[in-house]
Order: sequence, then structure tokens, then C-alpha cells
Amino acid sequence: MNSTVLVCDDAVFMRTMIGDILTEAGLDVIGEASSGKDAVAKYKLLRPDLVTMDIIMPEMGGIDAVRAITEFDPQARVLMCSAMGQQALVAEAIQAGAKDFVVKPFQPSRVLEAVQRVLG
Amino acid sequence: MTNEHRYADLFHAEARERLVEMNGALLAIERGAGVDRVSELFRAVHNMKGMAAAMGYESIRDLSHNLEALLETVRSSETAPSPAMILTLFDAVDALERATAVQREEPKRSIRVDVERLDALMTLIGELVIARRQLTELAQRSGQQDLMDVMSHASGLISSLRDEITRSRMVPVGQAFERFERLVRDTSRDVGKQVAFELRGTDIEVDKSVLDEIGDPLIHLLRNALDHGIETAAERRIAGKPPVARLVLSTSRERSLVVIEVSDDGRGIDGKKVAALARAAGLLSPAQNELSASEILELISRPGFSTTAGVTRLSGRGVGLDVVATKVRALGGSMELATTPGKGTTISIGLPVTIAIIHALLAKTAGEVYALPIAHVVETIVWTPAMARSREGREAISIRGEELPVTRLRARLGQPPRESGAGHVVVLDLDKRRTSLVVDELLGQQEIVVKSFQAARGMPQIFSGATILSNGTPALILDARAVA
Repeated sequence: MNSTVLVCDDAVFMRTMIGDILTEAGLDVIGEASSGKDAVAKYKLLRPDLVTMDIIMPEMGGIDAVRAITEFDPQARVLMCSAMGQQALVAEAIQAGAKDFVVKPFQPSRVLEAVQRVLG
Repeated sequence: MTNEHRYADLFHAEARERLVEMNGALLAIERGAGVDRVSELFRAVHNMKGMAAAMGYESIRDLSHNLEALLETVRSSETAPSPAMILTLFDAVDALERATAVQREEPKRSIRVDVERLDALMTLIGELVIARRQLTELAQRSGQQDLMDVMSHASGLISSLRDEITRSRMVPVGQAFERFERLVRDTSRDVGKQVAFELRGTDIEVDKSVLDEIGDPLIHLLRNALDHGIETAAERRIAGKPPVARLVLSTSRERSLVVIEVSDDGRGIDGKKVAALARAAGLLSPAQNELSASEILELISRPGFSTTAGVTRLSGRGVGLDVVATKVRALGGSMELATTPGKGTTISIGLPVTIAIIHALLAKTAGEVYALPIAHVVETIVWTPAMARSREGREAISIRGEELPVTRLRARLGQPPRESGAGHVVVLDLDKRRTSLVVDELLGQQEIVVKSFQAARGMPQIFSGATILSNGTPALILDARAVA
């Protein structure tokens, strides 16, 4: 059985790109969210094995969403997607519960390495 | 970077939305909106940067990055951005828009289709529709069942093909109208007026070539409203109006028409002044003083009228309305005016949704065949002279208790009345009013290809186009609003 993923980013473009990378690697993208609020709601509903989370989103940012998801499910596995130069935010996200991070622009090999690390 | 080609379409679709968001947020910030809109602008730029980086579009990425850095300083300063900063931000968004456009023009984009190609497809399917009617008649005349069956099948395929081609040409009006927001903002600053501009119905879809053609006339109307229709804030205060004027461009669908309205709450058009100018120019008899809205529109749409000195101030709508009227008519559309001196003006343009093929009612009058777009036809009734009544100097008819004005097509064509007096009444619904047209004979309905048509000098201005009927003879298409 494939591992399931919830992809969270407010840009369709980004969700498609990361979704394609994950699908080609054999994962199941079972949901997409376009805001932090949406991400938390969908996590509760879908209980994916993995979440990819953009840091900057409207209606509750990525960091708050990670915190809420981790509070709901301490076993949640969240992978942060950040842009370059957002080290401080990444650190904050990891303190809020994220397990690892990837930097945009996505390189498939790096994404998959991070996914493997997070899924164990 | 990976998979550039696959994601190029997605990039440009998303980039377009982001740019609209950026302009929207900037306009709001300029009007005094708070930190929420600055965050919204920041997110849009941030997204643009991420996408551009993923695609390897370095100039867009770098521009976005710099704009993002600028916005970061705005956010951290905690005070509203200065006017100078706002101007810089507008320039930066413009630069981003240009960089995106340049990127889009790359030849490797394979899905872009020339409008000319779509036009060719449309013309071909138009001819095929006409040929279909001829083939159907021949097949039925042959009496051969297998031939009639195949023809019936082919007929269905042709209808589907026409629908697909029509649909492939449809684009939402927002695609062309959204840029008007910047235009109105820039122009209102140039003329020193305070204007709140609203776009409505941007999702409504219209044939691409109709949209391309109507852009300039609409800019014309918007400029007129800004230059002449709308007063300065000071003038408005004196008149007891709010200092910020309202200008609305709204698009809506009414049956097979797209209606586009330009509305302002400005000074309106004073019919008496227009009448006075028209009398002075010899266009009206000295006795005529009261003008209906359609008479005002007809006068101010004349080329000669708008060049009269001083008319722009007085009419409230400026020069060049004849250009708009001509273009609208060439597209098979029509214009209407509603105005109240001191309160405002609305100009409505009705356009066919699809430009090339329409469903029409054929009517013969005084030996010629005319086509009436079905869009406006409610019903047809046999006419006898006894049905006519007189109402305030006009003819009227009563149908199931409803009284409708009557127009005789022969009279509009400058032809003598029919000896027998017999005919048919076509009841028309012109959205704001219902009326009726008396013709000699009804010949049935037909799909026709609309060809543009320039009326010769001296011809009544009641035609919106021309067509070739299935029997090969030409027919003029009546403009329902103008003829009745």
C-alpha cells in the first residue's frame, strides 16, 4: 500500500508540481489544501501519512497550521516547503512540530530524500 | 529545472491571476486599505517568485525577489506606504507583467491559436451550415431513406462541430476588461477627478473577436465619462453629490445577447441643450424641443454633431461617439442611452454572443427578404388592418390584453403600404420594451451566417448585417431595436 500525502500550498502551480513529483515516486496524493485553515481541516478528515506544507499561506500560515495539526495528532509527519532565505521561519516551523523541510525551487531528488527521512 | 514545458501553461494561467491580485491589492492600498492588503500583495509576489524559480524564468524570479524585498520593508515599517512608494510598487508590478508577457511569447508554446485560424474555422463551419440546408432539402426531395438517414446523422455532426468551434472562441470578458481598472485609475488622475470604478460580470464569456473589437469603443466610452460625464469633486459637492463619482462597467447575458453597460453618476446629458445645438446645426426643425433618449443618442452619434464647438461640455458625452456606434453596428450590435441631467448616464451596448451564425426569422416585405434575429422574437400573428388602433398618434395593437406599438416595415423601408393590407405581426421583446413589426409574409426560420454590412448613404439605419440565404440570394438582417 502506498503512503498517502496531503499537499498544502496556496498556488495551484506549486501543488501540481510537488504533487507530480510525489506521484511519480509512487506516493498517493489524497488531498490538496490552499490555506492553513484548509490544511488543518483536511488533515483531520483524511489522516494522511505525510503532509507537505508551504510556510506562507492566507487564512492561517503554514507554521500555525503545523502547530494545530501536531496538537491534534502528535504523530503527524509534516514536511515544510520554504523559499530560500527563510531559515528563521523554518526553525520556527520545526519547533511547532514539522519533521523536516525542502527548499523551493523543488528538485525531485531532494524532495524524495526528505520524504524518505520523514516517513522513516 | 525539471518539466518546464509541462508546467508552462499552468505558470502563465497562475501568473495572470497573481498579477490581477497584485493590481487589485495595490489599488486598494492606494485607497487607504490596511496591512491585510499588503500581506495579500506580498503573498502574490512571493508565489510569483516561487513559480518563476521553479520554471527557470530568471528575470521574472529576480524581479519578484526585488519586489518582495521592497514589500518586506513596507511591512516592517508599520506605517502606510508613501505615495512615492506606491508609485514605485505600481511600476514594479508593470515590469513584472511585461516580463511575464515576454516569457509567454516563446515559440515553444504550442497551444496558442491565432485568432485568424479560429476565424477561418468559423467561416468554414458557416458555409457548411448553409450547405447542410441545401443537402437536407435535396435528400428529402430524393425520397431515399438511406440518404435521408445519413444526412440526418451528418446534420447532427455539423451542429456539434459548430458548437465546438463556437465554444473554442469564447473567452471571459474579464480577460480584456480587467486592464481597464488601471486605465480608469490613471485617466482619472490625469483629469483630476475622484472615481470609484467597478467591474461587474467579468466571468461572462463572449466570442474572442467580438471582445477584441469592443475594447476600443469601451475605452472611448470610459474616457468620455471621465472627461465629460463626471464632474470634479468640487462641482459634485456643490451639487450635493458625494465627491467620489461612481463608474461601472457591467456585463450580463440576456438570451443570445451580451449586454455591456457603461454607467456613471455624473452630470448626465441635457436633452434640451442637445436639441438646441441640433436646431442650430440644422439637424432638427425649429419646432422640435423635446427629445427622447434614443433621439439624443442618434444625434450625438453623428460625426458632424460632435465636432461642433462647445458640444462636448454641453452634451456630457464627448467627441467620437460615431466611432463607437459604427463599430457596434458592424458587430451586429446596438446601443441605447439612458440619461438624467444632474444624475448620470448609462450607455448600453447589446452584442450577439457569437458573431457569425445566428438563428433568424425570415420575412418578405415589398418583394425583398429580410432576416430578424430570433433572439428578440416572441411570437408571430396573422395581421389584418382591423387590428390596428390609434394611440397618441401612433398605431397600436392589443394582444391578449397587452397593448403594443406597431411599426410597419414597409413604412420604415420607405415603401408604399400593401394593397391587400394583409400581413403578419412579429412581436418583439427588446428587453426594456415590447413592440411589434408588421411584415408582408413569413418564410420560416433559418440559421444564417452574419456578414458585416455598411449601409449606403440615404438608406434607413435599420440593418445590422447581411447574409446569404440557403437559396443563394442575399438578405439584409434587421436590427430589431432600430427598426421597431
